[in-house]
Amino acid sequence: MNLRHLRFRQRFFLLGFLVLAGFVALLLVAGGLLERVMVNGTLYEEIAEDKDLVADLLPPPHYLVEPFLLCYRIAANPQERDELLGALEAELAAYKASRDRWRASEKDSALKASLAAASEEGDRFVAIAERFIRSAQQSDDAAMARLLADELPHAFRAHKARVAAAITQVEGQISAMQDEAASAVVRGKSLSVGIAVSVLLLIFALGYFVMRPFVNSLGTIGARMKQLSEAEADLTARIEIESRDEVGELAESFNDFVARIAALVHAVRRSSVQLTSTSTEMAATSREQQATVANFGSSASQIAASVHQISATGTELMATMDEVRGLAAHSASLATTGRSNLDAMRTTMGQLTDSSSSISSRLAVINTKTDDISSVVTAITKVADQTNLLSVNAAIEAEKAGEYGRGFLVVAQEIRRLADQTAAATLDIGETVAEMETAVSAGVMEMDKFGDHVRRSVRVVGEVGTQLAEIIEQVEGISGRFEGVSEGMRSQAQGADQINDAMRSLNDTVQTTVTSLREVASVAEDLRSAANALNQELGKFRLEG
Amino acid sequence: MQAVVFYVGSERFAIDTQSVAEVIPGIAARPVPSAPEGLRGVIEYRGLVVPVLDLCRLFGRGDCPPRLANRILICDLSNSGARWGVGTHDRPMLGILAENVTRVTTLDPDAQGSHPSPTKASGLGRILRDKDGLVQLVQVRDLIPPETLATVVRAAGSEPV
Repeated sequence: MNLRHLRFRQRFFLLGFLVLAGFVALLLVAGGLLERVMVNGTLYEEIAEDKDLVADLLPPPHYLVEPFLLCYRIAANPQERDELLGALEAELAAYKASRDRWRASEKDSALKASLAAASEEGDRFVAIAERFIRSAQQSDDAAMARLLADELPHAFRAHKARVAAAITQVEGQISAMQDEAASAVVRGKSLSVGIAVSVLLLIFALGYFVMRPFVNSLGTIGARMKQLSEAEADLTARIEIESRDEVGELAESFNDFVARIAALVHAVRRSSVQLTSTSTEMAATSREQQATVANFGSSASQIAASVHQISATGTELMATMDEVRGLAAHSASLATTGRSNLDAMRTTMGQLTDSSSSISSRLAVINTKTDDISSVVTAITKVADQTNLLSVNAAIEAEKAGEYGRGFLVVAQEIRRLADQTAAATLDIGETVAEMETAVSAGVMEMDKFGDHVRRSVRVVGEVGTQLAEIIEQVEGISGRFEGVSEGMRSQAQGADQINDAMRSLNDTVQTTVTSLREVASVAEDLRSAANALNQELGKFRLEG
Repeated sequence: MQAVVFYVGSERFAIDTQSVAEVIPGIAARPVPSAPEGLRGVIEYRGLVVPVLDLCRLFGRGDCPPRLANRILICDLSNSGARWGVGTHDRPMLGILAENVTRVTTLDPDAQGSHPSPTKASGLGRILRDKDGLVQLVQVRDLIPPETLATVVRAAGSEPV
C-alpha cells in the first residue's frame, strides 16, 4: 500500500490510531507499576503511620499482658474475684479467636512458623491461666499463689520472647519488600519514559509523512494562485498533482475552475468585441435615424394637409349619397305599390282562370247533352224515315188494291204527312242542336283560348311581380349599401380627423424621437468607449500558448 | 195514277207505282266485277238475288251520295201488277237506288206533258206536274238497253237462292 495514495482522512485516522495505541501501552505500563507499588505510596505511608500509632497505643492481641495482670488482681482482690474471673475468661476467648484468624490468614511460611511457635507458647499460657481460674473458683489460694509465682510468669515470658522474635522477623520482611518496591518504581519509570519517547518519535515521523505531501500540494496551489492573481494572469497554466487525495481533487477542481474562467474570459472578450462593433453601428444608425425622422416630420405635415382635403371631399360625397339614397327609397316605395297592385291583379286573374275552367267544364257537359239530344233526334229521324217508307209502301199497295185501297191510300198519305212533319221537326231540332253544338264548341274553344290567355297573363304578371320584387330588393339593398357607404363616409371623416390629430401628435413624437436619438447616439458612444476599456482589461488575460 | 217520287240531284223523278213491288231501305249492294255502267251491285230480296241500278250514275251524276232517305225501289220488270212481295223467276226484279224516296204522288196520266228526252232508251219519260212542282216519269224497262238488262237480270239470276 502506497502511503501517498491514502486520503488525508485515512492518514489522520492512522495517525490517531497510532497515538492511541501508544497511550494505551503507556497506560498499561503505568498501571502495572502502580499495581506493583501500590502498598508503598505516600497515601500508604500516611495510613501506616496511623496504624503504627494505634499499634503503639493498644497492646497487640498476641501479647497476653492483660490476662497476666488480671491473674494478679484476682489473687490480690478476693472480693472482686468473680467479676475479674469473667473478664479474664473474655480476654482468653478474644485471644483464641484472634489466634485462629491469624492462623487462617497468614501466608508467609516463615512468619507463619514463628507465629505458630508464639501461639504454642500462648496456648500453654492459656492452659495455665485456665487452671488458675479453676483454682480461683475453688478458692484454692495456695494453688493460685503457686501458679502466680512460677508457672504463669514463666509461660508469659516465653510467649513474649517468641512474639518479639516474630515481630523482628516481620519487620525485616517489610523492609525487604520496601526495597523491592522502590526498585520496581524506578524500573517502571524508565520504561514509561522510553515508551513515551518512542511514541512521540513515531508520531513525529508519521506526521511528517502525512503532512509533507499536503504541505507540498498546498504550496503548489498557492504558487499557482499567486501566479494567477499577479499582473499577467496566465489562464493556460495548470497544476500538476498526481496524488489522488483531497488535495488532488482540489487541484483538479482548481484546474476546471481556471479552465472555466478561461472560457468565460474568452467569451467575454468575444462579446466585448461584438459590443464595440454593435455600439459603433448603433451610433451610426441613430444618426441615420435622426435624419430619417426629420424627413418623416415634413412628410407627416404633407399627409395632414392631404387628409384635410380628403375629409372635405368626403363630406360633399356624403351629402350626394344622402340625395341618392332618398331617390332610391322613393323608387322602392313605388315598386312596392306596383307589386301589391300586381298581386291583386294576379288574384283576380286566378279567379278568372277558375271561372273559365268552370265554364269550360259546363260547356263540356252541354256538349255531352247535345250529343244525347243528337242521338235522340237521329232515333226520331230513323223512326220518321221508317214511317215514311211504310207510308210509301202502303200507298203503293193501296194503289195496287184499286178501288178498295182508296181509303187506305188516304190513311197512308196521312201517315206519310205525319212522318214528313216529324222529319221536318226533327230536322229543325237537329239543326238547332247542331247550331248549339257548333256554338258550344266555339264557346269551348274560346274559353280554352281565354283560359290560355289568362294563364299566360298570370305567368306574365308573376314574372313582372318577381322582377318588381327583385327591383325592390335591389333598391333596398342599394339603400342599405348607401347607408353603409354613408356610415363609411362618416367614419372616414372621423378617421381623417383622427389622422390629423395623430399626425399632429406624430410630429411632436418625431421631435421627441429626434432628441431621444441624439441621446441614444451619445449613449452608444459611451458604450463603445466602455467596451474598449473592457477589451483592454480582457487583454491582460493570457488565453493561449 | 200514283207514282213514287224521288230525286236525282235536285230534280224530281217518279216511277209508276204499278211497276214498283216494294220500297226498301237503301242497304249496301254487293259490287259485281266488270259490271256494266250504272249497275251498283246485287242485293238479296226475299230470297232472290236482285241487281241494283244506280240512277245517279245512269244520269251521269257520279255515285249516289249516301243519304238516310236513299232507298231501293224493287221494280217488277214483268209489270204484271201482281201482289205485294211476290217474286219468282218468271217475274224478274230490278232494284233502283234513288235519293229521297219519301212520298207517293198522284199524277194525271192524261195531262199533256213535254218529252224533252232525245231517246226513249234513256228511260226518261214525260214531265208532268203535281202539287209540288214538275216531275219527270222514269220508265224502268227503258233505263238500260234491253240486252244489257237481260244480261244483268240473268246474270243476277233473279231466282230463288
